[in-house]
Amino acid sequence: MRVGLFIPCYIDQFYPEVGIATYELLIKLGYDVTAPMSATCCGQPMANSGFEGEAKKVYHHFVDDFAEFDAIVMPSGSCTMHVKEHYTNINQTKDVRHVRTNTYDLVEFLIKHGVKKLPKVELKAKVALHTGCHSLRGLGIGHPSELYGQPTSALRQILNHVKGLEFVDLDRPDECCGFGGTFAVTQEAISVKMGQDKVEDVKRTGAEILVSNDMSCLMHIEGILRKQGEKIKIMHIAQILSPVAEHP
Amino acid sequence: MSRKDILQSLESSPFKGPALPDFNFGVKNPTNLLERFIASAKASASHILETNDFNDLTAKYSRVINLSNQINYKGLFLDGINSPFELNDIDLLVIDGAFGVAENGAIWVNTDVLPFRVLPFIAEHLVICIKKENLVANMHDAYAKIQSDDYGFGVFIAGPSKTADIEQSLVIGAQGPRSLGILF
Amino acid sequence: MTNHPKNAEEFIKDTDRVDWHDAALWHVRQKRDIAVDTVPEWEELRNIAAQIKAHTLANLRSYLLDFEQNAMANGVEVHWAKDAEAHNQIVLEILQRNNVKKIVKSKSMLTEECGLNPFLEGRDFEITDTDLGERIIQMRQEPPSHIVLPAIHIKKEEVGDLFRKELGAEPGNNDPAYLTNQARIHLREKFLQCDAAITGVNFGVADTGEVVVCTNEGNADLGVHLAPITIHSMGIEKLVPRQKDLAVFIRLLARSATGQPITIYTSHHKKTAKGAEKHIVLVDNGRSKRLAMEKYRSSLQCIRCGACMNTCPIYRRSGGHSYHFTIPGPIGSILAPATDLKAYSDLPFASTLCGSCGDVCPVKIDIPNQLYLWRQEIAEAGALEGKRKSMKAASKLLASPRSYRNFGWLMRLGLRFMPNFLIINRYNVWTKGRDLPKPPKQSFKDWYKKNQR
Ligand code: SF4
Repeated sequence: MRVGLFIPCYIDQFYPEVGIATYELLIKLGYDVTAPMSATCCGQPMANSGFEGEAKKVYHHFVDDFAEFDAIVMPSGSCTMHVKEHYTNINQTKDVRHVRTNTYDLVEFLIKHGVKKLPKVELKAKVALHTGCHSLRGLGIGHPSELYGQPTSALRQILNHVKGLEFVDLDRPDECCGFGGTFAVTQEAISVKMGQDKVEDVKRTGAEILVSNDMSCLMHIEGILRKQGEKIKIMHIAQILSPVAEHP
Repeated sequence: MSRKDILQSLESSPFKGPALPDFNFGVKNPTNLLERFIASAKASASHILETNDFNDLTAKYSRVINLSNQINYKGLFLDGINSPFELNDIDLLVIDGAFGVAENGAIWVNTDVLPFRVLPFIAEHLVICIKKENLVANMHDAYAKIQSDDYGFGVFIAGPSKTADIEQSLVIGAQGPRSLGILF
Repeated sequence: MTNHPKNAEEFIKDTDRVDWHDAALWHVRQKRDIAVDTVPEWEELRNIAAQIKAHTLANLRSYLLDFEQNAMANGVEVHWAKDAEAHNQIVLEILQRNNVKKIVKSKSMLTEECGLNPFLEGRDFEITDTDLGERIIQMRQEPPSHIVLPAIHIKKEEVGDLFRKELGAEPGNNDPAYLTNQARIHLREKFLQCDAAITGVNFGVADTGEVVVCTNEGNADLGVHLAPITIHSMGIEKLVPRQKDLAVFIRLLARSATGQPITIYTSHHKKTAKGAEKHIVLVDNGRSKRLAMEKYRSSLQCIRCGACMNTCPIYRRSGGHSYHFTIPGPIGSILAPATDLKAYSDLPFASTLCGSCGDVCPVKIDIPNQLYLWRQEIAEAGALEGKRKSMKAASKLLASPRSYRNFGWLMRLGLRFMPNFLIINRYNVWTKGRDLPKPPKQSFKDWYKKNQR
């Protein structure tokens, strides 16, 4: 299977190690992976700010970059949801439809194509989990606590295959962390407060690492942890499944 | 003319909606109705009364009005009262309920049998008598029963009046009765 | 101009209060979750409720006419008000005709929307809100901050002070039970003197002409059954076609709102009592206009349970007043722009689009999607012109890989070499409460160029 790997702009620039880990993982799983050099962004930041008209230019660019692949995978539930839900607003060519229906968040992709094939890894650590809201409620990765029935976490389902992890439960496992894209800046006070509350929740559990499938949430949460001088680590799930050097 | 305006405005941009759905969540052969009703009622701060408890209550209060047909107790009479405003000093009111709902502990009261609709709300304490065989599983079954009930005013009463408007702390006895006793 | 970010920033300054407000509402959300899990057919009920409402709205004209006819047959006078002003005039006329001086009112977001209280107070009527929370905010002369828990933003010490001043309550006693009892005594007096009662309506039933009012305190019923004149103010979207539909909504409403399986009183007002007078005022006030807006139509399905507020992480931390609209929270943020796009252009942005409101909503209103759509509309209407330039620039940058590469390189370089004190200054909003990520030496793409297989 030919996989097009999309590394969102902020991961490309700030968290290359997450991109590398995702790439290595997919290679280990036997996929034919290409990360198009011309890829930039999915257009979400503009669209969520009310400028979908501007974003549509970016949509087309994205489709041009990725239409040739059997599957498009990205380490970001939020971007995935945007492609799936909002690329309906441009002319539905065959390419657009193909991209829309074959784009996956990494976790979604792993669950679909077999969690059992995952490489054997071990990590001794106490971890807390954070599923990005767009993954949880938008993509349906896991079962949110608002709906009838037991809440579940897809991250947990995958990380259960990693030896040595001890899972700790947050009081509010699926409360939004407050990032929200441009919300983080336009509603700075609330955004930071939400992030601080998330951090408090993590601290209470004694977790050493906070793991997520969405790097944008983690960027925001890390910002708060560092500001507080907290030592709790943040890690994208790909970094656990496919350990690579930090800040290469 | 508002009426014409509104109707016209609704007419001017018609659109299609889904069909009116049918549903059937009624419970055919309900089990443990009594047990479940009692649990729901207690969770809502209602008291389940035994005959002794009822006797204690009537002994405790001086102004007791009994409008129930199910119980033999002679309280005071409402004769000569012409206005609901004169009902403010009732300590304890005893009435009949038509049936109870197991899923939420609510009791259907058709006030048409009462001389004043305000009675179950204005009394300081309320006792509702229902028959054990008059219980239904859920609200769907309840409305199936009500459908044939001809009432001017009817109410589900699910406990003593309450509020949590001050700091979300639950206070029993807001504006209406301070307690609800249920007598089978 | 007031706006949500500014108001929120103000509210957030008092950390203790924010944490308390957040915890109180989160607790209600948790009670809701527990109640939901007792109903295995919950998600099915939500689907059916949404369908019933969508169906009713699509056929509203004929259901309203049925309702009118059946209500009239019950001895009720039915009035139609196309806007807030018409509503208030109708109420005024009924009150004047009957020589009413003192009115008791139970909770109604509609009369709040119509500004009925100030309207009547300005004409020398005494109007008393009788729901405890409503009475508290009426004494404080402020609007409700939540549609189900109107005084959720107020602490018991503040209620104590207020009741001391207004009701002569004893100093130092801030026990909620004591304060509630003080209010009970005070309000009982008002009930015993009232000439008319006004209530809101939770549901109107087309095939029986009855209206259903759900309360916990018993205040609505005390008013209605004591006063010789009753007025039920009802938005035209409150209809359900059949009496049996009530079962679906009653099962959803209280569980969603407070986690109770049902409110203490679910009152079915059908026929006018002997010697009394009963009126229903059907109010449009922008509803039929909204119904014509395909994208936003479903917001009229709302049954005002407040669940979307309780679950909203923004609402819990900014308080209802920060939304500067009658209905706060997520549902308010999609209702408000239809009434005045400019004045409420901030509200659709008061969200991270986390989606929780859509999941709790018992009638499945797609609130997150509507927030998104309003954002587009607001940008299009030119309310965000300051932003357009930077968005255009970003779009250009991101649609062209080459300029993007140069920009990224500059960004990382800048972060690495700019001294911390320059980054963390008051112009940089991100860094007020957060550090920036440590910029790596190379981007993913730089690495990939060298290492790809
Ligand atoms: S939008 Fe939905 S959740 Fe919010 S108040 Fe209305 S019915 Fe309740």
